Amino acid sequence: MSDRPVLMEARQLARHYNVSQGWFKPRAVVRALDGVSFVLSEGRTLAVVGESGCGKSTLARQVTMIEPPSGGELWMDGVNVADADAGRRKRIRPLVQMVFQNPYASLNPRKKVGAMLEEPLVINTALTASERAARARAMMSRVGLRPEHYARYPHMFSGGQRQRIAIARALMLDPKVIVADEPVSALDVSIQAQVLNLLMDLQDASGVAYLFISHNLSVVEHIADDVLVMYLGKTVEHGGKAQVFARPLHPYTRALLASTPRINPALRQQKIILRGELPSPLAPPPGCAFSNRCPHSVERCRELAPALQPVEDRLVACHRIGEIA
Amino acid sequence: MSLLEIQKLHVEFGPTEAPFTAVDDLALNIEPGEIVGVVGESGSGKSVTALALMGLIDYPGRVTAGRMEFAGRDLLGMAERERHAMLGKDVAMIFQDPMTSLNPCFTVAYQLMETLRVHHGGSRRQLREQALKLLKQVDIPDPEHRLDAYPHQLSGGMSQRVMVAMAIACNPRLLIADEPTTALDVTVQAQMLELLLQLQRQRGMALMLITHDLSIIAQTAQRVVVMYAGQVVETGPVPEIFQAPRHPYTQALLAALPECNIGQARLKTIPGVVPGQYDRPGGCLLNPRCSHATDRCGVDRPALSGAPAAQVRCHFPLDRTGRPTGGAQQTAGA
Repeated sequence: MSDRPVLMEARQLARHYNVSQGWFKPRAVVRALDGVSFVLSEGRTLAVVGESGCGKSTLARQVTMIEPPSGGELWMDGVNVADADAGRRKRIRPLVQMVFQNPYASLNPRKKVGAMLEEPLVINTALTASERAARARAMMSRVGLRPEHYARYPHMFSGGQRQRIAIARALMLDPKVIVADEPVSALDVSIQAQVLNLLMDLQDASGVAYLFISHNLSVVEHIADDVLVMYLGKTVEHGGKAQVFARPLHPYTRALLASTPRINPALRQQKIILRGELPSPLAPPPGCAFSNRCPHSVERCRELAPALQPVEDRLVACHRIGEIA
Repeated sequence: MSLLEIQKLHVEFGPTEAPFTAVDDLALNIEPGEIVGVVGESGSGKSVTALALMGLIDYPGRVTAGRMEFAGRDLLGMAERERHAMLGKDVAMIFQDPMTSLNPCFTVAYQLMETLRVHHGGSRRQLREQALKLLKQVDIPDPEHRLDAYPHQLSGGMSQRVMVAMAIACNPRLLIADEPTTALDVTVQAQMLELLLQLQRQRGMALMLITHDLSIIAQTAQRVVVMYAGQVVETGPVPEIFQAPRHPYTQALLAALPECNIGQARLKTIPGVVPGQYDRPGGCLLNPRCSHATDRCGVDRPALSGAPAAQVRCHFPLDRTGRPTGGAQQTAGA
C-alpha cells in the first residue's frame, strides 16, 4: 500500500478456541479470529474496527505474541512468529509493545513511575542502573511528563497522565509496532485529544507503526491510514481510510458509519438501524456472518460465506457488492 | 408549569468546614415532554445531580436546594414515604452499566414484576402479562422466552432494554438516563437512542439525557446543559449552542472532537485536566485552562447570566464568531 518498509505481515491469521459446553457435550470451536490478513508498514497506522466480540482483542493477543495463533502466518522481521521457536520469539517480542484501554488498571499501583519504565530495560538489556534512569527520564520528557514525576506512584496521576505513562512504558524498548487497544476510550474528550496528538507526534518522530484498535469511528477517522473492519472474526472491508470513510461499501461498514452520532448535521448519514446484535460466536449463522442483520441479504448470503475480494480500491467480503455499491 | 424545577442545588461531601462541592448552585428546569441533555466530562457533577434528584445521596453527602419541585410538589420537604412512592413511578432512572444494574439472582420477569407490584399491585398473572407487554414495547426479540431468563443470559444491549422496560413500567413523566449507551456498541447505541426517543414521543414523557458524548446530545436533545467542575457553565437550545457556543469551555470541548478537526494534522486540545477536590482554582473554575482568560477571571467567579433560554457563566461570553466580548482581548493583552 506504500513504499515504506513492511514491519509486520499477517496472512490468514486465525485463532480458534476449544470451549467446553458442559459434561457429556462435545467441545465447541469458537473461531475468534478466522483468517485475517494485513500489512503494516513503518510510520503507518492500521485501525481495526468492529463491535465487541468481533475478534479485535484476539487479534491483539496474536500480534503481541501473548498467545500463539492456531493457523496462518505472522511475519515480523523476517521470522514467521506462528511457528518460530522460543528463542526467536524472545528476540521478536520487544519489537511489539502494547498500550491498554484502561490506564487505571494497566499500571501497577505499588510501583513508582521510574521503576515501571525501567523494568523492560532490566529484563531486556544490560544497561547499568544510571543508564536506565537516564533513558526513563528522557522518555518521560518525550511523552510530556515532568522530571519530578519519576518517583511518584500511579494514584497521584490523572487518567490522561496515566495513559502517557503507559505509552512511555511501551516505547522504552524502541518497538517497531505498538498495539493500542482502545487507548482513548476511557478518557474524557479534552484528554483524548491530548493523547491522540501525543501518539501522532511520537509516530512522526520515531516511525513507529500503530495497530490501533477502536470502536470509535471518529477517532479512527482522525488517526488511521488504513482501516480493517471486522465482523465475527473475519475481515469484511479493508482499505485506505479516506476511501472507506468517503464511500463505505460493505453494508456493515455503512451501518457502523451511519450509527456514529455526529455534531455536524451535514455529516449525518441516512440512519441504518441494524436489527439485533452480534450473533454468538459459538453458533455463527451459516453463510455470511452478517446475513441475519444485513438489510441486503438474500438466499445466497445465508448459504455461502463470501470471500474477501478486491472491489474498486479495497477489499470487501460481500456477495451483493456489485448490486448495492 | 415546569415539570421539574431546581434552583440553587448544592451537593457537598466531606467535612463541613472544608467540604467538597460536587454540585454548586445548579439551576435546572425541565418542561413536560422535553428532551434535555446534560453534558460534561467526568467529575463535572452530572451524575451527582441526577442522584440528588432521585434522593439517592446518602449520608455523609449533603443535599441542599433553594427549590426542588417536581410537578409542583416539593421534593425535599415531602415525607420519605411519599418520595419513595414517587420514585420509580413518576421519575424513573436508567443507569450506565446494565450488567451491574440488574440483580443477577432473579429472573427478568421477577424484577419487572417487582416494580409493578410496588407501585400498582395486582395478581401474579396480571403482573406477568404486563411485564410481557413491556418487553414487547422495548423490542426484545422472543419476549415470552426472555421473561424467565436471568441477567447473565442477556447481552448488554438486551439488559439495557430490560432496564428501560423497568423504568417505563409505571409511565413516568420524567425519565433520567445516565449514560445509557456508554457501555454499548455503536450499532446497539443507535438502536437504544432510537428506542428512547420513540418511547419519549409515544408517552410524552420528559427525558433527561446525561452523557459525556456531545454528538449524542447534538442528535437527540432539544436543550443542552453544559457542566464543568460542578457548575452549569452554559445552557442553550440545540443546534444553536453547537453552531455558536458562548462559553469558552463549550467551544474548546467541541474543538477537541476529532469530528471537528477533519483534515487537520493535530486535534485542538484543552490544556490541563478537570480540577479535582483539592485543586479547584479561585475565580472562574475554567480560568487555568481557558484560552481567553484574563486577570479578572482568576479573581472573580462569574455568575450565570443571560435570558433563561440561553445562559452562560462567563465574564466575556463569546460572540457568534467565537471571539470573547466585553473587552477581554484588550485586558488579555495588557
